[in-house]
Amino acid sequence: MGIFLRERARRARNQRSLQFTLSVTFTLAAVVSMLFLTFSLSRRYNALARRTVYQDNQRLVSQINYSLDARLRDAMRISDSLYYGVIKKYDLDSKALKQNMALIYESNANSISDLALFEYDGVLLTAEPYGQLNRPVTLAGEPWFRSALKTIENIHFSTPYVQRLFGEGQDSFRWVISISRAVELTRGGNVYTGVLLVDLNYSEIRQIFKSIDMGEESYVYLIDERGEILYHPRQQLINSGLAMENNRQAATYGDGTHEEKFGDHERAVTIKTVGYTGWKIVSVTDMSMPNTAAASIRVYTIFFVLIAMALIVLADLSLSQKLGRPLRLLEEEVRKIERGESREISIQTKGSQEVLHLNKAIFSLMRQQDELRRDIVAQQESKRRSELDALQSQIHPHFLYNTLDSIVWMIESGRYEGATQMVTALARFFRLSLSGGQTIITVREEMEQVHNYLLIQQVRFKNVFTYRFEVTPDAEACLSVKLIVQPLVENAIYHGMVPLGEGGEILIRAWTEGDDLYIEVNDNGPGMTPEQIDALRCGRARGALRSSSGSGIGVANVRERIQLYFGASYGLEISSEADVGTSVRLHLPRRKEGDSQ
Amino acid sequence: MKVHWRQDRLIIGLALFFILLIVGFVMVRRNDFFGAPKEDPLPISVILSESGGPANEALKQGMLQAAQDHNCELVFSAPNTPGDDAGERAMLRREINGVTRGVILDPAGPLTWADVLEINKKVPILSLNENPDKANPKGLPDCVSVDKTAVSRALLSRIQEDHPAAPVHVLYHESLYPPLKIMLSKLSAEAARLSPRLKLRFWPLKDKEAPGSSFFEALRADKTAIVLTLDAAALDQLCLSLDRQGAADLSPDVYAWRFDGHSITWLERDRVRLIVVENGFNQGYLAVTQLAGQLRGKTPAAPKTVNFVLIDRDNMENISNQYLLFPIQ
Repeated sequence: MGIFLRERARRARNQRSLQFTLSVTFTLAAVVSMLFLTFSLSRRYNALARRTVYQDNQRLVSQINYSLDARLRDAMRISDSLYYGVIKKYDLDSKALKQNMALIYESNANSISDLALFEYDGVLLTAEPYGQLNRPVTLAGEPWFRSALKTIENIHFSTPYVQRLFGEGQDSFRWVISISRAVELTRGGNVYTGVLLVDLNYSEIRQIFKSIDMGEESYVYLIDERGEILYHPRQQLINSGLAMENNRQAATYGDGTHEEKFGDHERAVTIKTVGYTGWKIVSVTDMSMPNTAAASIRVYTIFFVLIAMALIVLADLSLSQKLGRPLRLLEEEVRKIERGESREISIQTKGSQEVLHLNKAIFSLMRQQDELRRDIVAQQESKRRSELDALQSQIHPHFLYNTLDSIVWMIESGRYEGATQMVTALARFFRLSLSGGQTIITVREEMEQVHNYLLIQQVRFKNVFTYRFEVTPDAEACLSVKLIVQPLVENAIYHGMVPLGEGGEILIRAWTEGDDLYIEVNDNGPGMTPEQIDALRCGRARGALRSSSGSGIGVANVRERIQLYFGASYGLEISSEADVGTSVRLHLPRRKEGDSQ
Repeated sequence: MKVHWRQDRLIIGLALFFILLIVGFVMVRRNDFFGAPKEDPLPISVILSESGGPANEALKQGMLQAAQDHNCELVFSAPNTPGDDAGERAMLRREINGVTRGVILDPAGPLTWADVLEINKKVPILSLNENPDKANPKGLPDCVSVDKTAVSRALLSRIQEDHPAAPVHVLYHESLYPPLKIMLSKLSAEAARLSPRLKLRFWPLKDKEAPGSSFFEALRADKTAIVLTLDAAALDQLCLSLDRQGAADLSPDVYAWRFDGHSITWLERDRVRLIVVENGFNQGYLAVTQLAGQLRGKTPAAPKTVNFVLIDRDNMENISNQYLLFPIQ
């Protein structure tokens, strides 16, 4: 099976047309180039898209960082204003302190939820806008209070939580980020340590993030340095266990863009640390779900590549056909000539210059070859005619000599009537011999010729032999080479009848079998020995026979003429038996007037 | 000629293959070429038995988040008076005859339930509570709610841990129909299962009624007074009564199921020891997700169970618990 397939493949390779080779080569080259180009561009595009995503995310987190930083710095500025502009400046018991605190709160009421000043032990000194706590509270448990007193030189930022120290009812819970610091309080010249609290509305921070629309594949969230989520667009889902976030891992990342695998998703995570607080803005882009624009571009690229490939294939097909068609037509013309279906090649008017030139050259070559072939045929025909004429011309002088000899003999012996008949028959014989110069005559004419000849010879050899004809009507109409029977009859007379003396009989038959014509001359003469027959067959007969009899044109002459005219498959057969007789059969094609040769 | 024809066929076949490839590609990615058909948002009506309160707020937020995730358009409505069964029923009928494709319902009472059973075949309805009269048999709407058996078990276990063998006075307003009835039966069953020594004494209150003197006498009679309130109003009435009477001689340990803003204040003031807080956000999200899936021909999921948390003074500052108690507006 394998060998068979290999053989088929080899044959197919060998039978490739020029058009096919051109098409396949061009197409393969174009498709490979196109694929290479697409692959390169795709890789380049992916890298570019990835870099664009990174840059966009970097830009975005920088923007968010800028806004967030501005908010936090505003809150720190308020804290600084309160501390350095109010608390340090005024005594705790002075009205100016409370008035200035109220003024600062009013100025920043949009972003600030409340302001409060506590003593070291957690006793509220003053608060805006509420003035007092809504319930007795031990502040030592509050993280923001502890942090402020633990590291007194810093400003501390809490995580978002619900501030429940002030207000009543619905107003009693507000999501805030507490900014606390230790402060020096002055009362009656004594300095105490206290804690200043500025509660920043959490909604301010949320608003910064919520206003960012990053599409379906990206989002931004905020974590503190431990990875606790401060803001996340799906915070509640995460709390409910309906969504997950890689926030703990994100806390370990430095600023910049990182690639991570979370669940089944490859993500680009861009980190930006918010100054002073240590919080981190985390931008997440799902890289395994490219954005819609990128997907569209990819789809369009594939589409255009397919279109381009199809166009290339069609263009290659057209080009190769244009190039290959004239060659193919030329090849078909040459094939026709090879098969003998045509002898001429048509001149093409379309195609490339090279093909037209080739076509003209082959056309010219074929013309020359044809002329040469015609010349050769003409020469051969001429030569054959010359040979026939030469052979034929050998007959008449002998016959004429013998006949005239007989006529002289008859006149000398006073047989004038016989001489007259003989001369008449001779005249008819020669008239038929001329036959208008034709070489081919009908069997009927040939038989008439033989009949005339036999009439002459019967006059000459009176009572020596009798003769008869058995010719079928179909055979009479067939064509024969002129003067091929008469020499055989002459041989029968001279070599069969004359030695017999009397009682000789000559039978001339002609009939057809299929496509063949047979003419037979039989005599009941003394016959021939096998050696004589072999000598005749080997072509030595002419000389032998001629030398022995001194008359007869010879069997070989007849055979040569038949084969010269009709081909080597035709000719003559001799069968003879001593004291029984001789039979010479001529084999010719069955042709009639009007048949093509 | 035969060779040429065979090779021509190959080339033509290649060209046809490309054409088919292009057509197939365009057909497969037609959304990228012609734009994806924009699906209209699913109109879903949400009928609550009452509006307001942190629990309802979280519920709504969960629903809105799910609506955003699953392309739904929610229309919220609630009767003017909390628990107004007849009012809710009228709303349900109005919504069913409107353009809504599905309804999420918090049935306020038996009238609403009767309508749910009748209308159910016309428009898919998803309930936020089980039917108290029947154990949600086949044909009733799917339900997304907290597992009250689990709540009962968690509550009573915690009470037993804190006060082994102390009797529990269960205080509730009996007008609060659907969840309460189920809760009462679950509590009784779980109490019997947990310990034969765990005794429950039920104190039903009339609408807006405060606990009477007999209730406080009963508390005083106990060595350790334990009260379990089953609605925010009952908790509020109890705490106000205790404040009025002075807590010197009577300071029961109060446990609460269901809460409002006041309940948190009582928790902060240590008047309440523990509140069971159902994750309203979770319930709202799951309810819309389930109904949207059902309306879009996905196999309806099994009834979802909503998680809950026992919140006391120690864990109320946890950020996740703060989100439950104080949903961000």
